[in-house]
Amino acid sequence: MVRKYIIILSIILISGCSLFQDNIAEGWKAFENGDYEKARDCFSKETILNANLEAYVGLGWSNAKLGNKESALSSFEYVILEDSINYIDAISGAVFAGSAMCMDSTSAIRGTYFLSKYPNYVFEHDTTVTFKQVAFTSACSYVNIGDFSSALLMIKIIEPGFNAIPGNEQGKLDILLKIEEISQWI
Amino acid sequence: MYFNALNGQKYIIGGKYEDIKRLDVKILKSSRYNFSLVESDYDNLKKLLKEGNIQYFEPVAKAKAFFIPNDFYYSHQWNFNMLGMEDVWDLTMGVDNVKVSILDTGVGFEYYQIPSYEQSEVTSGDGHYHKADDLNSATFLSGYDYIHNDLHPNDQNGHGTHIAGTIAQSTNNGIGVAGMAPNVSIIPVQVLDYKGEGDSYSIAEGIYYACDQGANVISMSLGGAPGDSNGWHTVHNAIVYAYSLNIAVVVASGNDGIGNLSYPSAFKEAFSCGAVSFNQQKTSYSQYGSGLDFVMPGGEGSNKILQETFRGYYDGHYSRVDSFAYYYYYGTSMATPHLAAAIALLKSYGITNLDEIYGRLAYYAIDKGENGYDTLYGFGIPNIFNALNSTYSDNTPPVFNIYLAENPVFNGNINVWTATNEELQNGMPDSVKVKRGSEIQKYTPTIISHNIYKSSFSFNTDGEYEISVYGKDIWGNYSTSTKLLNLFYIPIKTEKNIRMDAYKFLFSKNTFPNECIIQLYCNKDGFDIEMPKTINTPVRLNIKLNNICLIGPNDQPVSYSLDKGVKLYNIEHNGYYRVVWNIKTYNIDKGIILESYEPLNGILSIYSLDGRLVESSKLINRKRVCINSISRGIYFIKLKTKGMQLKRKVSIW
Repeated sequence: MVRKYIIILSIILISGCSLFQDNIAEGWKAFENGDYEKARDCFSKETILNANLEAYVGLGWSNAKLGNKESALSSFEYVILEDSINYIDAISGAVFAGSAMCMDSTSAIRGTYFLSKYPNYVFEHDTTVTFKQVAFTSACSYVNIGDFSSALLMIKIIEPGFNAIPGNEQGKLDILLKIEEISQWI
Repeated sequence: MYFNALNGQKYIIGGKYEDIKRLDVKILKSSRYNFSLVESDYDNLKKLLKEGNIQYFEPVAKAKAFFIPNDFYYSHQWNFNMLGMEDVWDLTMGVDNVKVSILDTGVGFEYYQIPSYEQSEVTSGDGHYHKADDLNSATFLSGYDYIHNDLHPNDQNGHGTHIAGTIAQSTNNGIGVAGMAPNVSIIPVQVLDYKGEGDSYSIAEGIYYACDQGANVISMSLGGAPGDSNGWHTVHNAIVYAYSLNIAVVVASGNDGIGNLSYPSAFKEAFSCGAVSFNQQKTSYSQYGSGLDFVMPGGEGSNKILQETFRGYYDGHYSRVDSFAYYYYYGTSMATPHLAAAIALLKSYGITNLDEIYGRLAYYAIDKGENGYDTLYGFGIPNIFNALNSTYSDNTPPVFNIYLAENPVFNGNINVWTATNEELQNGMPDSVKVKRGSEIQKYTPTIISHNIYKSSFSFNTDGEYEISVYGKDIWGNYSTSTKLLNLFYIPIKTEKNIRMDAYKFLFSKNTFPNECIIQLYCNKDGFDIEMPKTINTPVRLNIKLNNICLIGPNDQPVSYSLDKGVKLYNIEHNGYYRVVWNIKTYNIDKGIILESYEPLNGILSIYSLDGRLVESSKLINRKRVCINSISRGIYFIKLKTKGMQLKRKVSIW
């Protein structure tokens, strides 16, 4: 038991997160400041101490920003399994992580579901991540599974005026071109 | 390395016998094609490879025949009707100088005394192998038995004889059944044993042997587990060798019914053949996937492939090699000789170039499944008559268009899509290569829609990448296309702490090229920012463009000098430095605050995502700007000053 406390204390000291502060608040603060490693440490500590689902969301997003897609997806999946209603940031995160992991079917379907529930989504801890990024990522995944019709629907969320005929080859190329164009600024 | 193996296992190693015999390995067999079968332990071979004593090593892959024997009963050959063979035979039935080598369990092709070492595998009333009755008119050339190492590749199983019948069964002789190309010559090569099992060493030897004997086509109804390329490198080399000699190697896709081809069928230099049933639909067992070229009749249910052979017993009973009858078999094993025979007919008809043969078979194939190439049927069922009788060909190379998209959260995860205007050999580009400096990564694309392919890569090093697609159309016209991409791993919005090892630090984003590049050079071995240590030589920090600044340990911007618009910093003190945007943003209700470390001068404009100007104002020596009363949404902020332009995406909420 003593050994366990020593380990936890060591993690706390190494991580730089204070023992007595709100790890989650501190984690999100670090996240918003772009210090994702510190954010990850704070959230990680919280998951060890309290197994708080919000901490897993933060852990997932911190890992996402650090490029650790497997770890990120693992955290998001855990939250979704436990509570898929109150932690919508885990679902959006899972869309991005799933796509990065080439799990395109899951990512695309999850993205569609998410956008039907939260059409105006903005990730409050990083406002550059919105429903548009989710739609874009889902569009990419739909293309990867050959479903250009659904990809078009996702693009239309970002650019309602865009149109193409996904059933023919030219329409598919139009969709690819539009995705590449959006990728330049999204 | 290929895999982690147990010690004392059999391996194939690449290298000359003269070199290998000096090494600390037990040589079991050695091929004159510079590979040997040895017994050794993994670590020893790894060491020999590292020391350059051998070219490569791999475990011996196991192969088996892809067939499912069944009770026999007579019926007509629906498979030949499907392929329109009556019309084809009006054009050609093959010529004897076209040689088809059958690499299999052997063939019942001669009357020959069963050697003592094969008497535990087969039996016969007179102690002899017999020639199948209905192969009487077929021409057989010298072959080889790599299982028993003799010149008599007689069949101990029945599988190879059935396959030989599909190709060269005596036709129009009033008995039995027909063969597709009865006038071609057969080179029997035994690489599978009486159980229908073999290994990659024997198969590679068999391919080289067939090449040396002047084969034009090699038929291989065999392979390993789906998708498992382990141990097939030597065979791949042999197939590439055959391909270089314009020899078609036709290989069964496999019988496990899943979306992954078996090796060696999956090698792009091979003609990969799947199976369809009587109704021209893919059979349930036929393996499919990227790289499948064609499908041929393989049979299923009550409609299987009928040919003459003997009943093979490999469960302790002796196979009777003097007792031939007509048996229905089904499998991609049975489909494969149809394709081999079709190629032999084209060669017999004077169409000898492999690329042209591929093009004709693909172009005139009866398209099944999705429009054009698909992974279930490849190009479909070849229309042999049209392939023989047509004159169309194409010499224009395909055009590849490359489309790229990056994951918006996981920077560096790139989708690469390639579209082309023509059908491609193997149904897809040969490869997608990503080059950065001297590093090259190769990726195999997969099809997502007709003439559209995907691949993906991820990177963790900044720089300029060349993404190139290579491929051949079905007529063998080669083409490549390249797209350049500046990829930057660090997102521009991130403040980055200068690390201990950051003696060169590049910081940019492809979206707005040249807008933000930082290079940090240290003229020693880098510098330590966290440990108290004296910096002997000042670090020169070279910052191009002005929208970045360096924050020192006192949390204040570090002073700099300007050299032709480039900021030059001399860092002389230890401490914790940060490279940051000189403008930070903070959200407020329906607005945003811009805060700069340095006074801002110029025009500040706010644009909506569709490029509409929302607001614009002039700044004079302002360090803090508040923008409010703006609808929630995503905007671009542009700051234009003399010699620079800052463009940044912000959310207002």
